[in-house]
Amino acid sequence: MRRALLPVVAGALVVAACGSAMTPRGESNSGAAGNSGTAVATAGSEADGAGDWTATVRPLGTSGTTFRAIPGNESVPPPPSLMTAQASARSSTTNPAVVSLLDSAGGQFRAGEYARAAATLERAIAIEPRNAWLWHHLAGTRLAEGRLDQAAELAAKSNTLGTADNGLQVGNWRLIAEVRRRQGDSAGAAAAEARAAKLAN
Amino acid sequence: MPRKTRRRGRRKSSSRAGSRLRSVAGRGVRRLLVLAVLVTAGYIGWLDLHVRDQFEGQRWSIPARIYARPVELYPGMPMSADALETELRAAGYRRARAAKRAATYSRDGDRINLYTRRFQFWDGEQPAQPVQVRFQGARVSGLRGKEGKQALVRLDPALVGRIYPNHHEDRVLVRLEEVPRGLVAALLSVEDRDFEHHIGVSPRAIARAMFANLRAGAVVQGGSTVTQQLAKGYFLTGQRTWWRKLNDAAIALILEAHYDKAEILEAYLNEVYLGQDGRRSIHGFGLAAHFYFGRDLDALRLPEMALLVAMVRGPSYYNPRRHPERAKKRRNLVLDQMETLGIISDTRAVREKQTPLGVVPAGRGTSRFPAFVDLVRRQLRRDYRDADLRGEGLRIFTTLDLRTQRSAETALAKRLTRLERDLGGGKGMLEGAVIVTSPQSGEALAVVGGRRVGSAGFNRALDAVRPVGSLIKPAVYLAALERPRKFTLASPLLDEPVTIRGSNGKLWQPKNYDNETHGRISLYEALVKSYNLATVRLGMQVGLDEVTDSLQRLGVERPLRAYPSLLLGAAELSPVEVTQMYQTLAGGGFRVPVRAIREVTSARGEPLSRYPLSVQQAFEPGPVFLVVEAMRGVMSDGTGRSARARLGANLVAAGKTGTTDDLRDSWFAGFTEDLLAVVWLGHDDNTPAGLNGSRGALQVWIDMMKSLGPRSLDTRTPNGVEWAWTDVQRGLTTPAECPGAVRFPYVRGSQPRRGHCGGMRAGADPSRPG
Repeated sequence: MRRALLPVVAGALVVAACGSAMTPRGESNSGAAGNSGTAVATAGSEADGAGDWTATVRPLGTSGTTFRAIPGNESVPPPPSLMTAQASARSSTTNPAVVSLLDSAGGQFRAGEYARAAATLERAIAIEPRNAWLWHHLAGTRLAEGRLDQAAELAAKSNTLGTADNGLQVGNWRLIAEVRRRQGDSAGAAAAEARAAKLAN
Repeated sequence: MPRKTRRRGRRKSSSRAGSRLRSVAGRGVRRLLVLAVLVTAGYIGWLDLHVRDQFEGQRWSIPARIYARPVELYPGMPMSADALETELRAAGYRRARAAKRAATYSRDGDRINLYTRRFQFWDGEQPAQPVQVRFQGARVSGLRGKEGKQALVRLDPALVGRIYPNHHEDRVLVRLEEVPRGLVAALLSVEDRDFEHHIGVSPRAIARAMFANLRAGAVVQGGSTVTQQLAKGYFLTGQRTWWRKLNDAAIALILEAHYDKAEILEAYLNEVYLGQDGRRSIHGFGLAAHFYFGRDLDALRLPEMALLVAMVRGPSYYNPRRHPERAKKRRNLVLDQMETLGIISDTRAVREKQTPLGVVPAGRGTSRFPAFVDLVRRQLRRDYRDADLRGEGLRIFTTLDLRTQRSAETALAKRLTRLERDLGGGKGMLEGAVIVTSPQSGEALAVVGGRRVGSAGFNRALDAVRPVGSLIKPAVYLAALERPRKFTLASPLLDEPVTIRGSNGKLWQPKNYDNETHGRISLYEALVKSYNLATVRLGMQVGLDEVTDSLQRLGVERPLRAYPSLLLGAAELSPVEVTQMYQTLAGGGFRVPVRAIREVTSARGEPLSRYPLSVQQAFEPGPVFLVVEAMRGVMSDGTGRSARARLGANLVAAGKTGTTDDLRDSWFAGFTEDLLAVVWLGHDDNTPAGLNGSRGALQVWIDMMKSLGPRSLDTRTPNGVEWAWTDVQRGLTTPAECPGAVRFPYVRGSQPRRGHCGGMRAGADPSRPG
C-alpha cells in the first residue's frame, strides 16, 4: 500500500505542476466562469489570494431595463435646462436629504450615468412624492436615455403636481415639445412650444 | 524509446534459454509497472482535472437573495427610535454597549449609535460607517456620520428571503477578508494547526492529534487537514475506506499545488457542512451564522464563532438546539484550545466560557414574508428563467418595507381573532389579505397573504379572486364625471327602485344595502353613502361600455363583461388588482404599475436589470380629483366614517368600502398621502363571513394606519378645477352666504348657472371648513 501511495503522490505533484504550468490561473478561471450562463460564483484566484467572486449571469429580461453601456455618440444630448448645476436650487425643497440626492443625481446625469441618476431621483421621490421638480428631472433623465414616451408621461405628471410653478410648467412643456419633435410630430411639438411660450409670458 | 527497444532486441538474440525466461518475467513486471504508472498517471490526471473543475467551476448554486428596501435616514424623517431599533434588529444588527463594529448598535434613550455594514448596492459599494441618530418624539432630529452632520444615510437592507436551488443547498458566500480573525483562529486551532505550512497532508498533525486526543480523553483534534476536509466534499460517496482516504489525500495535494492557502481556506469556509434545516442543508460559516444566530458572520462574538467551529466535527451531534449541553462542552473545548495556543488570554477564556450559547430559535433563517416573496417571484419570472432565480445567486432589491409589513400582519391577525370572537362563529375560518403600496410610485410596501403569516400557502393577496362589490363604484362615478357637461358632483340622482332587463330576458332588481330608498340626492352623496339604486341608474345612463372602459384604464387587465350587475361589483378581482385600480385614483389619474422590485444584480453586484418608476396618464386630473373628493366624504360622512373617529378628524384620507351578497366578502380600499392599502376579508370556501366592509376590512385598515401614523392626503386643487357654492336641490351656483349652500369642486366650465339664495335644506357638505 505504501508503494502504491508513492507514485500516486509523486504523480499528483507532477501532474499538478504541469497543470499549473500549462494553464495560467486567470485563464482557467475565466474559462470556468465564462463557459456557461449558469456559472455562479467561484472562489477567485486573484494574485492577492483574497478571493473575489466571479459570476456571469445573462440578463434575460426584456421588460425590466437591461443595462448596457451608454454609447456616447448615440445618446441624445440632454436639453440644457435639465439637471445642470444647482438643479437642487430649483427643486422647491427644504429637505436636505432631497437636496443631497438631487446633487448626486445631477452629478450622475452630467457623467452620462442616466440609469443611476434616475434611480437616485426615484429615491428622492420616495421621500417627497409630490415634489414636481423631482418628476421633472426624472422626465429629463428619461429623455436623455431616449425613453421618449416615459419622458412625456413624467413631464405630464410633473405638470399636474406643480400647478403653481410657472417656470416648472414651461420646462415640462418644452420637454414634451422635444419628445414630440424626436417622435416626428412637428405639429404636436409646435403646440407644446406654444403652451410653453404662453406660460413664459 | 525506439533506441531502447533495439538494444533490447540485440540482447534477446544473444541470450540463453534461462535468462530468456527471466527476461520474459522481467518484461512482464516492467510492462505491468509501465501500465501501473500509466494508469496511475491517467487517474491522477483525471483527478486533477476533476478537482480543478470543481474548485474553479460552478460548484455552488447560490439561491437568489431578496432584500427589503433600505431604510433612508434623514433629519425630519418620521421614525421613532423604537421603529429604527426594530429595523436594525430585522437587518441582523446586534445591540452592544458601544457600536464599534459593523452591524452593531447602541441605544441611549432618544439616541441610537449604529455602525453600518459594508454593502454592495446596485449603484455601488457603500463602506461600513458609524452613524449617530437623534430622535425627537417620532422624528429623526439629527444625523451625524464620520465627517459630522449628514443629510442622508442609507442603511444596508435586511435580507428577507431566498429562492432556493432545487437541491436546497444554501450558502451565504463570504470573502476571506470579511471573515473575523477570531473565527479563523478558532478553526485552525482545533482543525488544522499547521495549515500555513503543510502541503495538504500533515503527518505531524496526525501524530499530534492522536496525542492531544489521548490526553484530553476525547476527540479534540482531527488528523486531517482543512484541505483534506475540503477534498472530502469533492466526491459524492461518503464511505470511509482507505481508498477514499487516499483519494482525499491526493486531492488535498493537488489543491495545495494549484492554489494558495487563502483560496483554499476561503473555499473551505464556504463549503463546510454545518447543519440541516428540513430539506435545506446549511453550508459554510456565512449561512451558519444566520441560521444559528440570525446575524452576519462579522457580527458574531467570539464564543459564537467558537460554537460554529465546534460544530464542524459533527453538526447533528453537536447541534446546539437539540443538544445544548454537548454543544457547549465542545464550544468550551475550542475556547480552551485557543487559550492553550495563546490566542486568547486565560481570563478571557474563563469569561467567554460562561456565556450562554446565544442560539436563536430555528426557522428564522427562512423567509418570514412568503406572500411578498411570491409577488417578487412572479414579477421576476417575466424576465428570468427559474434556474437563474434558483442558482445564480442573484441579488434582488425589493420595495418591501419591514415596518409596514409587520403592521399589516399584526393588524390582520389581531383583528380577525377579535372579529371571530365577536361573531361567535367557527374559529380560524375567517381569512384575509392586505396589500400596502406607496401611492405615487406604486412600490409594494407590504403583502400579507393570510392570517398565518410566515407560512407559505394560498396567497390571498394575489390569488383570492372575489367579487369586489362597491369597490367598483369609483370607476362608475369617474366614467360619469369625465363627462362634465353631463355630470358633476352636484348632479341630481334618483335613489329609487330600478328594474333592468338583461340580454337574456331576465329581470334584475337591485336593492340598497339598508333596503331603503333615498329619493333625490346629489351624485356626491350617492357615492359617499354607497347607494346601489342611484349608482345603477347613473351607470346605465353613462353606459356599461363607458364604465368598463374606465375600469380598464384604471388598470384592470382582466376581461370584464359589460352586464348591469357589473355596476354593483359583480366583477371578480384579486386584492392586488384592486390595488392597481385604486393606485390610479391616488395617483391623480396616472397609472403606476404595482412594483415589488427596484433592481436586480448578479451575485457580485453588477447591475442586471432595473425596474424603473413609470407612469401613464389614463385620466385628466380634474375628474379624478372629484372622485377622490367624494371618497374623502366616504371617510368623513359615509361608510368609512369610523376611520374619522378612530384616526382623528385631522387625518385626511380617501377610501371605499365593499360588501358582497350575503356578506361573503368584506373589502376596503383607501389611501392617505403616503400609504395606499387594500384589505379583503372572507372565507376561503366562499361561505358568508357575516361582515360588511365597514365592520371588517375597514377596521383592519384603521388598525394598521393607526400603528403607522400616516400623513394626511394632499388635497391641493389641480389646474382646471374650480370650487363653487351650490344649491343642490335647485341645481344652481349660489353666493357662499346662502343657507345650506354646499361647496363642490367642478371641472372648469361645468358649474351650474348662477342663482340667488332660496329656501333649501342642508345636505352633505364635502368641504371641511377650518
